Amino acid sequence: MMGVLGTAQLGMAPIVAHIFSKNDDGSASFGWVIGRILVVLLMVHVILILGALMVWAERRVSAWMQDRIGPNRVGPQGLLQPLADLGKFMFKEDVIPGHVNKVMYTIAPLIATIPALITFAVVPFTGSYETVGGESVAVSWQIADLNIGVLYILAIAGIGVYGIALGGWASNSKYSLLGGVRASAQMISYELSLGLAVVPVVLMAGSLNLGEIIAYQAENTWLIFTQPLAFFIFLTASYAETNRLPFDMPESETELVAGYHTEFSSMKFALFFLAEYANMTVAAALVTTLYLGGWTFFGLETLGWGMGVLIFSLKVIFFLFAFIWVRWTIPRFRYDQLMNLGWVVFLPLTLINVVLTAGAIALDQTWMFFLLPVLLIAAACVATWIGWKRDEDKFQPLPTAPAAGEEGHA
Amino acid sequence: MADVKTVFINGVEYPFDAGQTVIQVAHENGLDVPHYCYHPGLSIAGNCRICMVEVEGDAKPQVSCKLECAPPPWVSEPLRIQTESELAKSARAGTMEMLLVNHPLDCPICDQAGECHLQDYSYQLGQGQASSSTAKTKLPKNVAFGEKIVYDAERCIKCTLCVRFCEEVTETNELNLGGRGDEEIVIMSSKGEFETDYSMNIIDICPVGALTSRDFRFKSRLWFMDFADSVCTGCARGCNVITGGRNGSMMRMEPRHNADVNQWWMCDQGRLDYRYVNTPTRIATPRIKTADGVWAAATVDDAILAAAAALKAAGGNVLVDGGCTLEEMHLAQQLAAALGGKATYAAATGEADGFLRVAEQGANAAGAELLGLARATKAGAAAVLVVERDANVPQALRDGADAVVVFATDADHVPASAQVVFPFGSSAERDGLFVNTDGRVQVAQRNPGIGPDNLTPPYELLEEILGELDAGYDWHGRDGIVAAIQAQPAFAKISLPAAQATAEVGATS
Amino acid sequence: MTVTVKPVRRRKASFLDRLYLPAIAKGLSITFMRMFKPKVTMQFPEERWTVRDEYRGMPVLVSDDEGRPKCVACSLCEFVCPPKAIFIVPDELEAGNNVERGPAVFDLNMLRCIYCGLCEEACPEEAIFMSKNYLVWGAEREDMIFHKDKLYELGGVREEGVKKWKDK
Repeated sequence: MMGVLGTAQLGMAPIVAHIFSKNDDGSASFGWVIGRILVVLLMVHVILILGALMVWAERRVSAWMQDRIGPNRVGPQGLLQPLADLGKFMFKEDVIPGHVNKVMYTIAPLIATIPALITFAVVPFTGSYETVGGESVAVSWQIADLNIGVLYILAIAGIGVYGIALGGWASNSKYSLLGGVRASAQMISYELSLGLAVVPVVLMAGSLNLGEIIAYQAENTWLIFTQPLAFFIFLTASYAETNRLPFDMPESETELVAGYHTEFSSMKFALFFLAEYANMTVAAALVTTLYLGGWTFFGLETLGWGMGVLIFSLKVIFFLFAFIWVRWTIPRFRYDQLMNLGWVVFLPLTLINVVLTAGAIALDQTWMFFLLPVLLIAAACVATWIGWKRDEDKFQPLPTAPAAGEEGHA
Repeated sequence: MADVKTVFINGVEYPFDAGQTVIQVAHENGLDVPHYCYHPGLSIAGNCRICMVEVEGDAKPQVSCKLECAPPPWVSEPLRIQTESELAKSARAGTMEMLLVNHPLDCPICDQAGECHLQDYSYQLGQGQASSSTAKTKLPKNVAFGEKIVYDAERCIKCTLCVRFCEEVTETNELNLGGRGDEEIVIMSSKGEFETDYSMNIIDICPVGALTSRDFRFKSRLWFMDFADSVCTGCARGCNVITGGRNGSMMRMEPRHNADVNQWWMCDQGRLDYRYVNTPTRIATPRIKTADGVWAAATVDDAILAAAAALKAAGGNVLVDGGCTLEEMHLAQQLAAALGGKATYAAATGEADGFLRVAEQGANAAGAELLGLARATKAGAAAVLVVERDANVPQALRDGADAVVVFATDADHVPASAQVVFPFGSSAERDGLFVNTDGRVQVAQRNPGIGPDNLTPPYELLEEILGELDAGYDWHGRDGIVAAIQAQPAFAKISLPAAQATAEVGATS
Repeated sequence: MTVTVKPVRRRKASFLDRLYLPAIAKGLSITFMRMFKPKVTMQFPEERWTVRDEYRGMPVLVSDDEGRPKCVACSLCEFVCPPKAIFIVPDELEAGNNVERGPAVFDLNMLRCIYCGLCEEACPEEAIFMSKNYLVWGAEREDMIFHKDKLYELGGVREEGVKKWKDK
């Protein structure tokens, strides 16, 4: 039932379909394997090119936000700037400092990059409606149709931090080590909130399969409307997971001199760079899939699989833009604020959210889904207000403040 | 008639000798009275009018160069002179005004800029140009006065110093004034050549840039040059000079006043004699002959060791240039003693001209005789050869010496036999004492702007070599060397100035 | 050592402030609107800024209105130049020139020049000027040493100023 990216569905000529289809008994044929490899290669390149374009987009958008123009010399609108950057990275000397652990130092960028590329395997990027048992069901297309897609993503994304932590440790430098340690601490803190923010989604869709989550949203409503708090926390946590501002503590140029990749150069540095942008792409795709109905858009997707790709891309691009937008708006958190936000604010809120959602499902009171956002936002406000009352006197004016201009001597 | 023996200048009473004029007394006592046409070595013309001073009681200012200090017979009080009063200053300003009417004010292209009296007084009086707006007269420029002198009539202020010099000092009368009014210029006799060999002195005495040297023309601005008080080593007269150089090149040589030796003058031959200093084949670093017969540059330390080794093997005499200093000659004697030979000096003989130039060309020949060095007249073996001037130590002597260690200024003067060659500074680059033909000891000072950088003084090199040859050698330093010379019986009646003494204190024997 | 302490009166954070979200939304809207504002970047090689009158660019030598080089090699600029960027060898010019003296060599080392303008101030002939040229570059060190001909070419003709040698 579950549609994988089959050649027949792409409407190719029957002979091509025959070559790339499975054997009659359902076992993998040679042509089928070649076809899958081609598709995988295609998707990997899509992500790599997107990552490269993100570097360009980041520079252009940040320039616009600062009244500048940004790179516009290489190619039309500077679109070939990533190519120029790549050329520079390729020809830079690949310095391996004498004080590093060479093995770890060499594989750390790979460990950071590969998970970012392979998580995309389970993300549906388009689909079609098929009639199953008399009902029209949204069937998603992805590379690998895993029925534990959500768990797979959480598990693989967690590996990415090893690359950063290892890179920081193997560099044998104080700055790098601090960056690596920060990255792991941050990952542990926000992985919890991230996972707990997905739980209501899984509860409501009744499946860990991303395709089924989209099918549920196509049938009912986008989960952003019923789970706005979970959406918000997931979005925020994904910023922390991808080490983007305002949570880029592992890099924090001003304190750690680029943190975990201080000692890296040439293509090793470029791989770290690429991993960050690939992670952003995956995070944007996940938000789209989990909360914004993936490739669906109020019936517009029925026009064909191409429209599905377009809708999905636009949503992802919006969230990618949001990554950049937030980066150039909100300054970096202090580290204690970062931890405070993760453990004291997000964790309780997600837990309450899970309990409330589970309760609503158990009682089969679907109307409560519409009450939940209101309740949760109110709860969030109350919690903030309590915190405010508690800290109130911190912000009182100084009791013995002399008049302006006077000077006290200490 | 009252016997007045003093004169008041600016309220201070100064004594004077009979016949002295006010400007002479003022200059003797360190007062600065401006002057163009006045020169202490020449007759007084009183035609430039810049030395005007106020005589108290007189309505009009008078020229101080012609004003005798002795008052008129009917006056019994000393004269009271004011050199800086309003009247004196306005009189000078008026004179400047007149001089600047036709002066082209082309200081940017004038070689005299920096040592020009007109420039100095303009600056002092605050007057940069004439207030007259009429066109300046056009007069001949770039006129050749002989081969060595360029005359610019526009700059000339007709002070007649040059004319008087040719009349009174050289008595050759090549120059005269021609034309009248503002077209009056200095003209040369029809021959167009100077008979005298002292013609370039008129460049020095010219207060403005009307007479400039063809040799020094546009070579360098004065303010870039380094100057040092030295002694001319062109002949044994030892005229006192000021050397001027820049960036390693010697630019010019000018006479320095010494009443007992050369007064204010020097001969053109000596003045232009400096050119050998700038030869392109100057030796800048020590050289050691390698196994394949090439002289390779070496460090001073290596060269000293090599020289000592070569001398130990060779032994023998030392032949020095007659232009060496007393210190160098003394050490050459020591070296010769250490090598078991004796030191000799070589010097050329020229022609005396009856005024300053003498026949003896070795600048320190008298010093060499005092030290007891014999004069080398024909070629003879010498292990060490010191040659500054080709004329003093000609090729025959150089080649005949078969020397292994050579101190030379010019690489072309190094004989083929040399194993070790040391750079030897020209006389402008060495400190030292010279004894002139009259037995007078004079000091020459090194000019830092001339010659290769970091030249080691020859007396240091010689002492180092002596130290290498004899472990028990007693180091002296320059002071010690001078003291050792002073201790010799020949110098009992001569007082040598200390090494640090400036050239002004040239002691008389 | 005395430490001067100046207490600062802080505004008490309001409930909305503590909620952070309104401030974040406001910040996001500001940056978003900023994207559509006019840009200040100048596209440099194509667009050039207007150089003001008092701007001191690279020093150049100028010729008079008859196209004759004005420099007489008086060496005052060489003397006054604080970083010693100027090197002049004076020479006698042939008869028929406006002056009898001019530079045989006039080297301006732009690696040394500090654009102080003292050469322009010192020049009695108004022959050297601080141009408006701020694009001084060279691929090699030798390229940054500008010789006499190049300096006259850059300076061109300047009609005003002293013409001391006009009728000579």
